[in-house]
Amino acid sequence: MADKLLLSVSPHIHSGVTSRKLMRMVYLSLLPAIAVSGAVFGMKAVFLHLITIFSCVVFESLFNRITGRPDSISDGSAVLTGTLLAMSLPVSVPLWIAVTGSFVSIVIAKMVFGGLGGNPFNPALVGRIFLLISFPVQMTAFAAPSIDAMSGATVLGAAKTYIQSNDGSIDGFQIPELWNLFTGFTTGSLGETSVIAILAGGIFLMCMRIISWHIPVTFIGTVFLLTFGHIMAHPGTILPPLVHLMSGGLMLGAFYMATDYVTSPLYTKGKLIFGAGCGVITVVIRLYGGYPEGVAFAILIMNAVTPLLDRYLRPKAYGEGR
Amino acid sequence: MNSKFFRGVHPPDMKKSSNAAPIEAIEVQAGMNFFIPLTQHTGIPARPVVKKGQIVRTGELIAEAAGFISANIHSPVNGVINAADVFADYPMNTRAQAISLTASDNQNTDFVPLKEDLLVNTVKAAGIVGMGGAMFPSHIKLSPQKKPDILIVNGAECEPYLTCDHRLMLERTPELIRGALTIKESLKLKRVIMGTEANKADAVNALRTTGQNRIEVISLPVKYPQGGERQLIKSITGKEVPEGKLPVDVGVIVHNVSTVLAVHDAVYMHKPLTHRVVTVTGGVKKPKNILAPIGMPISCLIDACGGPDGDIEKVVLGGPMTGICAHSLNIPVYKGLNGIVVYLKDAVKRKTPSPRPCIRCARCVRACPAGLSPVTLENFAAKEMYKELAVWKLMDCIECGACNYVCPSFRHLKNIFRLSKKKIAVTAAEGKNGG
Repeated sequence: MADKLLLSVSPHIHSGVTSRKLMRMVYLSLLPAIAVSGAVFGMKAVFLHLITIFSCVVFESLFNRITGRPDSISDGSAVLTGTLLAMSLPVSVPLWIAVTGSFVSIVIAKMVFGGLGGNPFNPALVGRIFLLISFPVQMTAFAAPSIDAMSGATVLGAAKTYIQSNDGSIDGFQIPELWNLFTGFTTGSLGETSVIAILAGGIFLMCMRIISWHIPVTFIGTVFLLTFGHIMAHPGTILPPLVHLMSGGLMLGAFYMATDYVTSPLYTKGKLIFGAGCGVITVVIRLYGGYPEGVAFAILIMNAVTPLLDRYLRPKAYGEGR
Repeated sequence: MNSKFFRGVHPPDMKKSSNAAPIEAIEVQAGMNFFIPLTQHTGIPARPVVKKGQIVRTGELIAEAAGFISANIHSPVNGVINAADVFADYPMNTRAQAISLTASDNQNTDFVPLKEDLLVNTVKAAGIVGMGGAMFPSHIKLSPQKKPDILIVNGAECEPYLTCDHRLMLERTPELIRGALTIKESLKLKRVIMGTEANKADAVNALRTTGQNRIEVISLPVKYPQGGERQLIKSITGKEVPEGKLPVDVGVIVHNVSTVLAVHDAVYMHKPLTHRVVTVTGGVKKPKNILAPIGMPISCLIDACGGPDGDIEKVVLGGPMTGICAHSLNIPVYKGLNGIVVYLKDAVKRKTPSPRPCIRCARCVRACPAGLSPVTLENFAAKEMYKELAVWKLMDCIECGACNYVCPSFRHLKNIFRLSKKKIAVTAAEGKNGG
């Protein structure tokens, strides 16, 4: 019989679900969207994915090496950030811009805050916004999907320009087929175009209880309600609510960016407010702001509110009364 | 009525290896050494009442309760006292003061009967404590300040691996019911409810058949910690015990299956608490539920199961969620020991990974049966922010380990909470003592 016994504190068992496994699941759920981006935009899209993932991993690794921190590549978050960054880039973007975006995402937005878990803002979105305001031309030059006829600006961008030049009326604007928006045959960033692929991934994540429904549902619901309300009050001035839901980065943002564990609230009440806040800001920017799309800004602004929501919306403990 | 406590986790129950093994009494060999700790209960250690060389019989009082929150201790065998003031290996604090005795060769099933008649006095005389692990002296729970209405018999046994209460519910059904009804009559309660988990369907059937409509039997979903006292009350009555209050404040008292049986044995057989059923499982050749005398070294129990099935890595006393690691196999069976889970070297595939950064996934928040936020508490605890810890209800943590179990970053949540709670308690005590 062994004379030395291992001593450890309870519990002595673990569920087996690790951070790495969670990241892998999220990555898995993105595969349909990645596949659609390949089908719609060609091999360049897949190549862009690989470039951002590779550069994110290299930047994180270098940062760790230089600052003497332990390796953190194995947690899988750099790979995921790279993928999400690629999904928010237009296919025609020069590679050096993609690499710059990776640098900003990983080094500026994540590692300087202490790495995974320390960053207040979603790294992929910080990278995207940085690129959008630094390289507006390249970042909004959306190539036409290989099959569909539409090219140039996104639906949201085209509609915004049209409405401004048409005295605030949408009359005469050619609204794209909902089916094309739903399946992904439209202009836009790699991962944003296919509603059905992202929806499939998002529902998978919700079923696996990796993300909760609170943020995506309130986010998308708020966008729908506000655009619906606006169109009821002022018919013919904006795109129909369903087009708003299926265009731009809303789906990707609601399911993948806003639900980022590190930068979204911990508790149910906070999540509901966070989602609704994202929705309100998105609609305000889309309808009244200078940019045609507001999802990324909305999420970053709400990221800043997250610590407050977590601090003041503590869940009720057992026996505390309801 | 069948409302659920919220949150909780679902570890694999691992009960198959021992839940069909009938309870076996372990044989006491002449000359076997017993160490009987004086602190097998919450509160003041018992005071020895025997001397070196004294011959004692099974059931004879060898240490008496040294205060209100304390408990009597009786000899588990016929034997001779070696010493009344030795230190024995013990899981809590590694050593505990104990009485040492050697079994003589005239072992039998007789015992020195108890002489009390009132229930509470009998329970007190018998030295009965909460046998689910808490080891709180039972006579105190049975003389409540307020009048309760409901007795809940806790047969949830929600810890993985453990099957001793399951076997007792099956094999001693009439005695269990009789014990519960005795408590009901004595305290003039309105209802007796047996709460158990759905993975013990045979026990539920046995209780329903034997109990007829004298007791209510509720089969709860398998979920950890279903058997946590406050969680069980919520699951069964829908009521939450308010902060800082006791179950009796919502009209409920809860006793574990083993405890109720000990009450039965004390009342109807005049038998003090000298033996208990222990599930010995995990990496042993033949997992068993063993009726063992208190004070017998756990190595004897492991041997009775055919010994370990390889090299022992660690031995957990209690279940894997809350159990304590044994530092020695000489640790004696004690009143609160419900299980011995043996882990083998090759079964532990890799060492527990070291903690990684928190990714704020909130799995711990979803798991916490006390409705707390382990992620936030950990932050405050690490920074010793005691005011915030109070606001975020650290003291309501029941140390069930559910947060640790789900944490994908392997953070030692439960342990830091336990340490912080201890620190807070010590500070409070110092403050009270005019510090």
